[in-house]
Amino acid sequence: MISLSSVSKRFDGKRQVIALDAVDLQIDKGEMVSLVGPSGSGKSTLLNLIGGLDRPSEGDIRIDGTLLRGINDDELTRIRRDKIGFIFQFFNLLPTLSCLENVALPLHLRGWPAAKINDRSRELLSLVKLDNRLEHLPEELSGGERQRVAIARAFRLSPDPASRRANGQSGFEHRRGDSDPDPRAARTAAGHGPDRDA
Amino acid sequence: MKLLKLISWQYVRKHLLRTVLTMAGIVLGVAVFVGMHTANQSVLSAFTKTVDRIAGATQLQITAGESGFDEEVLERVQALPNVRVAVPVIEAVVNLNLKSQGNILVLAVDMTGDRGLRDYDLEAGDDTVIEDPLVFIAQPDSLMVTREFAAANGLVSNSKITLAAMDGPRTFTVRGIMKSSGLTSAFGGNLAIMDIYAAQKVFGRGRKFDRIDLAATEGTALPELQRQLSALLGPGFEVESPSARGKQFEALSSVYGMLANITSLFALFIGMFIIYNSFAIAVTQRRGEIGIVRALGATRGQIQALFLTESAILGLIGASFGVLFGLLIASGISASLGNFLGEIYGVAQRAGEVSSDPRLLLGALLMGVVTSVIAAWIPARAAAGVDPVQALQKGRYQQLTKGENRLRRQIASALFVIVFFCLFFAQNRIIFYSGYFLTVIAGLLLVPTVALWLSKAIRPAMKFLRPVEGTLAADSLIQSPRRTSGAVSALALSIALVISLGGMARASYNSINEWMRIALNPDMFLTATQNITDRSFRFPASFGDEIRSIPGIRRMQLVRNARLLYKGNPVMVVSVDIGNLVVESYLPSVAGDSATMYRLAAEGKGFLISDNFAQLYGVKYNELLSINTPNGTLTLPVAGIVRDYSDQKGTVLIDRKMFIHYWNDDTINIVRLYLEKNITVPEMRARIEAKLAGKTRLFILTNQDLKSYIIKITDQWFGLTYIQLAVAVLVAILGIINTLTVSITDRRRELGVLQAVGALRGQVRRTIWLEAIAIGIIGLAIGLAFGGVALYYSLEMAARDISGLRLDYTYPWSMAAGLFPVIVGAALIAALGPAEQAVRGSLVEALEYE
Repeated sequence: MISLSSVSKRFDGKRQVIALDAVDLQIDKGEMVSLVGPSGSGKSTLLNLIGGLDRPSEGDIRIDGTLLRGINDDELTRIRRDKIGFIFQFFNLLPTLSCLENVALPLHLRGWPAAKINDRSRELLSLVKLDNRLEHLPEELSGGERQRVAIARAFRLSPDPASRRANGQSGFEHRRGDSDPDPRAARTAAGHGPDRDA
Repeated sequence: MKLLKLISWQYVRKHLLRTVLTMAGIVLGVAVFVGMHTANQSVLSAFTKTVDRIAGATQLQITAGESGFDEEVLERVQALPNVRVAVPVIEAVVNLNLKSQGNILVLAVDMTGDRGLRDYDLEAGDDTVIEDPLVFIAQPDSLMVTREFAAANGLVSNSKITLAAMDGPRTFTVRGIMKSSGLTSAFGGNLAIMDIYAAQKVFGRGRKFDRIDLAATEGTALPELQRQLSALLGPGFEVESPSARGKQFEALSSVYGMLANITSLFALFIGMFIIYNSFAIAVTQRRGEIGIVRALGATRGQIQALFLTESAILGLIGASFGVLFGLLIASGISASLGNFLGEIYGVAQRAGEVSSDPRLLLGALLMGVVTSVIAAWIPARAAAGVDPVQALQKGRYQQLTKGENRLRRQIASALFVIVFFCLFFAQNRIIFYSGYFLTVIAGLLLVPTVALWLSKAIRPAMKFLRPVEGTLAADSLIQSPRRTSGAVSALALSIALVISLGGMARASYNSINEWMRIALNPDMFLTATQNITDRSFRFPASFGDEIRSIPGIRRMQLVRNARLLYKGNPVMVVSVDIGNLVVESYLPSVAGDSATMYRLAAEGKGFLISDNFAQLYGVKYNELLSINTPNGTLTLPVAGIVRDYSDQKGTVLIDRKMFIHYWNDDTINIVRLYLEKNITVPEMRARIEAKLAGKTRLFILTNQDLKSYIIKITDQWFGLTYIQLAVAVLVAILGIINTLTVSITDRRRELGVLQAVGALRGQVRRTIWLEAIAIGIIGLAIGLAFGGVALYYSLEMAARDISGLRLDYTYPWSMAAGLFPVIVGAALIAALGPAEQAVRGSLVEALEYE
């Protein structure tokens, strides 16, 4: 569950920019939310705050009941690692690692045993129909394939329909029950409003 | 200029830390160069000033090496019509054990004639003494000191100073305090004037003088007078202007000068790699920018000029700081160098002030700029060659192309073939040094390839150790050989330097220890000076008889050694009763049969020369060797060449009776004593002291004392070189910091992703640390291999051109093992800052970074 209470974010420079102003938001388990708005409306900032990549200037954010305010960087990282999966706009795969290694990376960081990591990574890549690309480097993949690797990396927590929609043509199957830790995790995605951006 | 302001300045501002680190290579290289050479110059200049100030109006000086000459020579010189004034001099540096500066230069003169050459400007009230020089002479305990020395030691007129003289302790009375003037500033103001006939007794000179200072009558052509004097006195005498003594001193310190050159050039060479590395990276990172500027109309020439100008400015700023730091460290180095030269060669000198030569400083600035421009040349060309279309496309440019790497390997292989052939013709100096140079170039060309191989080789181990951090660190190196190879090269060069100098040190210690075991086997040594290399005080010949009469001595060997000129080189002549010497020890033969060579030398039918003498002056076994003596030229065959490490400038060993005959000198520097079995060293020391205490100046050294002293001098020698090593390692560490700083900037997004998907700060830090350690280990591996080759060349260079000493090749394994923790530790230290930089930044910005 994700809960935001009076969350604001200001960027202090020569001129102060208020990206978010006292936002309240509640996303329950299993709920899927899309953020839609014009460019500069604070969608990415909100996702960064929910994802624990950034901290709010004011207000409280709770992830599964844990208040993010006041926790140190490593605790925040653990929340990111254990509760949040990212699919970046430009995928952000590590260019020096193979598909398998890219997907395995967060699992290694969690300290899983090697055999379990290997099984799980292969399983995730199989889920996104990339079993035949295990040892390929990102530069050897098409844009769509890279996106699927990024999705598989995020799936370490939960294979999810929102991601499935992100690449409608691939039609990969979603196997319920494999998710970790919770198949009903909250999901957010941001997109531009049709009236402002092409 | 506009481009420089618009593009370069912005880049420098953005990467200030990296710019400073890049410049640090040049700063250190230039600082070492300026520091060491300025120190050398300061000591040399202090010596020259001392000589010059003491010389006064002296136009020519007559010497016969350290052995001195008989008093009658003075009469012969004075008899020449063109000589206006000729006065005898004894000059010695002694330790007075006073509260301030212990060492003082004693100038002993004949006051009746000397005032024609030197001006002794006395404080008011003291003139009465010197107005009538006979008063000074009539009281042989008279001493004049400088105002500075008097003030520093609380001396006034009629103060007493006790000096341990050869004929027992003597009390001198200060009968004059000299005002500050040219003369009194000699030897940093620590100067005392004494009557020469008193000095003969004090220093054990017998009826001999060290030198004659003279001035010609007006209108006399000096070269003509010089020729007349040489003809009159014979080849054993040197007739030179006072300034020529500086050249002899320079010859003694030349080994140090050469070492300073080699190491500072090495430091600069390492600095050059850091600059090359930085510029190569800058060109890669600024490809897009270069592409835009090129697309907007900048020519290739303009782009190249832009980078070269940047490098020249960087070089100039770095070199300027280097000069400043160099001058700052010079005073410290010159103090230790002055002491060191005194210890090694017995030529004490004080460098009170740093004397900097504007030409040296200008040369250092130029060297910094040129080094920087050369280092940036290849990256600047690469920048000029950037294709605007390709540059504006995104992609990875760090990787060396396969073609580029293959070309490097091919050139390196061709160079190695040439080097191999050079080894067959290495007798030729040019071919030998060319071979060394080409080896370095070929090695450096191979560094990127070898570094890549090694990175791939250690990847599994790193992955095994830390699956995520290890893999990422190894991959970072594998993917960016250009980023890494500069730092690896710099590190490898430093380590090669450490290994070659460490190997030299080890070989030297081994050889010296072996030599000491064989040559220095007496139980005790008696000397007249605290420092065995100082020959200011000498025992009279009768001293031998006094010692011989003490019961418990099994054998006694009397040694007189003196530094003399051989073909203008200050070499050491050691005289000893060879028949007596050989009973207890003989030096290992390099050429000639031991039994025969010692017999011939004992009979006065041949010289024994040290291996380094033979090497340095190209003298061969059985060849005739001529040495000029006060009694004519002594020409004998070289009966044998032996391993001897007693002097860096080479040693000639002759029988004592020959020395006495040709040099008219029966004094003794050192007495070597072998004891009877039933007496211990402390017992013998007590017997000697009981017999001679208070009667003569005497220092008693045990076998262990002398060996420790020699090891101490050797330590000092290598201590100087270790300063340079520390600098070289520091430069290499800077290289690692630079590389990591760049690596982190390059991988900012990658590190951001790593943190976004769950890497803790500690995990990111470990990635950077592992990368640094990997660079360290790769640099170490290449450096250790390269060091083995460098050691071979260093030993050859030492034998050929530095000391002439042939040392056995022994790879310093223990040092190599010791370097492992040092380099890993240094790499870790180098990684601390960059690792913090990697984890402290904004994650959001990192993820958006491109």
